Amino acid sequence: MARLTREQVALGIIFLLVLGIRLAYTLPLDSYSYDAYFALRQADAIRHTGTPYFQDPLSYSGRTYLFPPLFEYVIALFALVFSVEVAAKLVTSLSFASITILAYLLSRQVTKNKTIPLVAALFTGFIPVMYFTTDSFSSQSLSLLLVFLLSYFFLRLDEEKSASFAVITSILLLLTSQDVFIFLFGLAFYFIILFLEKQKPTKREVELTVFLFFLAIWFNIILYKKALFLHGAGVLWSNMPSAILSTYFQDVSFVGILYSVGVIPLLLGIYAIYNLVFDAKNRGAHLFMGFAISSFLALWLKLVPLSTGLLFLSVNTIILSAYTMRVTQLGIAKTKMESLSTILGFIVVLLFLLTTMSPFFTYTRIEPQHPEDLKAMAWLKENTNEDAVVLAGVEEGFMLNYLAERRNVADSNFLFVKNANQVYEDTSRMYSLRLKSEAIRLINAYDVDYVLLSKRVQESRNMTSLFYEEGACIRKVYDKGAVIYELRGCKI
Amino acid sequence: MRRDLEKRHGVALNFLTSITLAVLVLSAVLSIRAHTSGFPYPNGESYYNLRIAGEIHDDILFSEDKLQERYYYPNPFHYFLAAAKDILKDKTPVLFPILLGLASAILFHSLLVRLGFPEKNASFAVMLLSMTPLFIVLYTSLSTTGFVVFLSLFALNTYFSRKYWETPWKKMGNLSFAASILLLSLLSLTSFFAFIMTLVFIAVFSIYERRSLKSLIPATLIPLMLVVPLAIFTPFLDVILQSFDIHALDLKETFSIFGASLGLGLFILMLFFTGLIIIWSLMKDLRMYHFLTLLLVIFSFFSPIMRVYANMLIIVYCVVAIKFLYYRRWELEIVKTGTLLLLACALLFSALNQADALISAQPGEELEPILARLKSLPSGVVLSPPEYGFLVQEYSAKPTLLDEATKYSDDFSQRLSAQAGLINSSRIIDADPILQETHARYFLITSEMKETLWEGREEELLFLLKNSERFSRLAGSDEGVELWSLSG
Repeated sequence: MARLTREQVALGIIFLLVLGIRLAYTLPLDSYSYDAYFALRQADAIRHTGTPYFQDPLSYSGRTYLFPPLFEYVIALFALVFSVEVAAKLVTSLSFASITILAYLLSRQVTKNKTIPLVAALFTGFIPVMYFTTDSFSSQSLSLLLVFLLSYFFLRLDEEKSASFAVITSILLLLTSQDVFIFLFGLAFYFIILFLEKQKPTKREVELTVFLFFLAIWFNIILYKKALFLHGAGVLWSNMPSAILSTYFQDVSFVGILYSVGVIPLLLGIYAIYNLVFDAKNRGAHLFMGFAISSFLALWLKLVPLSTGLLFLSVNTIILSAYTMRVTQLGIAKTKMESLSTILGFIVVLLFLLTTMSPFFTYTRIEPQHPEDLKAMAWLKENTNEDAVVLAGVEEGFMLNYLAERRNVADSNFLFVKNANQVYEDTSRMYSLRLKSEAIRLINAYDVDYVLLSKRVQESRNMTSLFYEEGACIRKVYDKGAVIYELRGCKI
Repeated sequence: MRRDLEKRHGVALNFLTSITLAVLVLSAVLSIRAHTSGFPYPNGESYYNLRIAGEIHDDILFSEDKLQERYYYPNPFHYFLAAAKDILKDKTPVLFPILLGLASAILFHSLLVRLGFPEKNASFAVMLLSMTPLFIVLYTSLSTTGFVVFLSLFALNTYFSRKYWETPWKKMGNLSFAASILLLSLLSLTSFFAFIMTLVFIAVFSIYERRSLKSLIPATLIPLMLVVPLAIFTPFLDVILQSFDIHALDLKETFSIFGASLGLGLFILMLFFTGLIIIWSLMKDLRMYHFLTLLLVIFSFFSPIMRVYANMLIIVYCVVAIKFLYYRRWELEIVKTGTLLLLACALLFSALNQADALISAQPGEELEPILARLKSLPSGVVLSPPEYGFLVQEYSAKPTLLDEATKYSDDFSQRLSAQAGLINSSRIIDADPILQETHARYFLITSEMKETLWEGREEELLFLLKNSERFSRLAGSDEGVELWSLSG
């Protein structure tokens, strides 16, 4: 059996450290981001029936889902041993922790050095944006891992079997999310950079890119054929109502990037781009320069959600920062003060830890769950009919399906929802209306049996009860922080 | 000599295979649709063309659409279809589109060969063409556009035939030129925009083949001598303007995957760009023609007729792309296999997707007994969705308040507001004046109307029909299509 090298041991320690810290944060959590409940519910369905809910009877009181389900299948696989929640936490944490290994491997390809990639792995494990997602279970974690795995095989295309592994990875990526297009976008910039540098891509690179491009387009057309037919180009933005489109695809600011990526990796990454543009010819670094530019543009043009874009940008920046450290090390090696490179390395790591400590400890979860809301969900599950329809906030839709196992009026997945704008507006109006007749008309239109006025909705709308709660047909049946109304045969 | 014979056999086999594929694709769609839905075509102009051809078949001097009380603008396609009815009899709805498609495929092949395309590649182009959504849509219905394409290809073939028939049959060359002028004249009367497009193609191909453009003068003037007086002295100018049919950029109108009725295949377009890039670098002296093709493709996003022509040109580049990818020396064998497999699957998927859309399109079989019932009833105007108008007219021999051609009528706004007024009425007192004005007696309420107009609820007209004693349901059910009549 081959002995482990020092670098492998160090990498293993970083991996375990990152995994341990993530699990230490996530395992005690008993509530998650609202969208996380979608993955939990689908994984639960797979665990029981073998297939996800492509036809969900609870969402929108019955609708079709379309999504690549590999992430949910992986959770379900782990859920054979653990509970679904623990499995989801394990899968997500393992995926994010594994990215440190990939960051090491990729940095090693770029720098041809053994020590600097360890720094890159350390950076990857502790950049703030990785910890903004501790309460979220989405395919982001797995797709990030697969994208960088694909780029690793892409870098090693000259080696035997790399092409086969790249094809397999790309298929897995397609079954996880649409992030393959970020990869392709990055490759396009890579080819442009090579062209500007008067270099040519290799035949293998061109062949794989062409294949990936056709595969990605074809697969997504097959998967979203019906959605394309129904929504047209609106599918690109998941048919989101215009009212929430701007919050989902947020504006990106330099301060936001700085906070998420970290000052040191960002500065080192920017220097790497400068160096590559004006001086060096390092194909590996050019590739990640292309990816960094594509991630930034995708964020700026609001083609990807903020968290996805920041994650991609961060890891690419870190790999570029490894390149900068290598360039600096080589420069110092030419001087008589070779030991300065080690000192500088320590300083860089220290500065990184100091600058990321604050966001690391003070990160805010995206959507804190009120304990009263969780209790209200439990009450609904125990005290209402199985086919009851509950009006909740759109963001709470998945949580309602998973925790209360009841039908919702709307949730944050709008594909296959006709008149998504109208549905979103009606859901909002059913809370804010003062005119009882109009409220009842809408309630009857959506066959609502219960209205959940959660703490979150109360805070966001600055209300503690429904304006039209007076009357025989609307009865308050639960009032412990969150309020639940029962509607019985309301007619205009 | 033996090699030559073998080569000819190979070429003939390729050609036969390509046209057999075209026939198979078209006949599969038509027969599955006829079997599952009972109606040969999806909703649309096919039923209008069928009805008018029937009228012309009974009275060749047919000049007014008495059913819909509007002027009839003579269209050569209807006369052609009426003549075909004599030969094909009750098999016309199925056989006619297939034969027209077959003829168009053969003419496309012939044209490519005349322009110097190798025969093997031309056969492959026909195979690809028969898998495109546009070809499938055009030749699984009685579409005027399909006939226009046939005329166009025929005209192009006969126009350029003088070189082809050069040596043994010189006289035939002149006859074929005369035939091309006749065909262009017919084309100008069927679709003026297609006539202009064909002239542009003739001009470009002539320049490409370094022919004189003098022949284009009679080919242009003679048809114009027919069209211009008609445009000046009759309402034919409206027909000319209608033929242009330019629309704003809308992906749902442009790509078949988004549900366009005459849409380009997305994958076909991707292959086109691949082929264009390849051919651009290889054939530098022909870049002007490639650029013109690219322009046509871009403009086709705004016009259905241009899309149809662009689709045929695109195929040529697709052939170049596929051959290049197939014969290229790949470094990664697994990627080569994957890419070629993917292309084949994508083309197949594109064709199957379009076929599925056509087979499952309305009208469905539930309408058959309802329209039969409607036919047996006394005369009266039918309120139906506009897209069902032609179907109702053909199968029930009753006029409809609106159909897809009403937008060109002078009284379109009155009819539209009358239909809207009826649909919005939930009280008999509101509906009565409109009913009297329009003589609407029958109401065809489809599932789509219930879903899109009333969101599945009993509101407005549906509420009125179900709750007023003045109306009775003659056929159908709450879940599907319903036929109501005004009694008394």
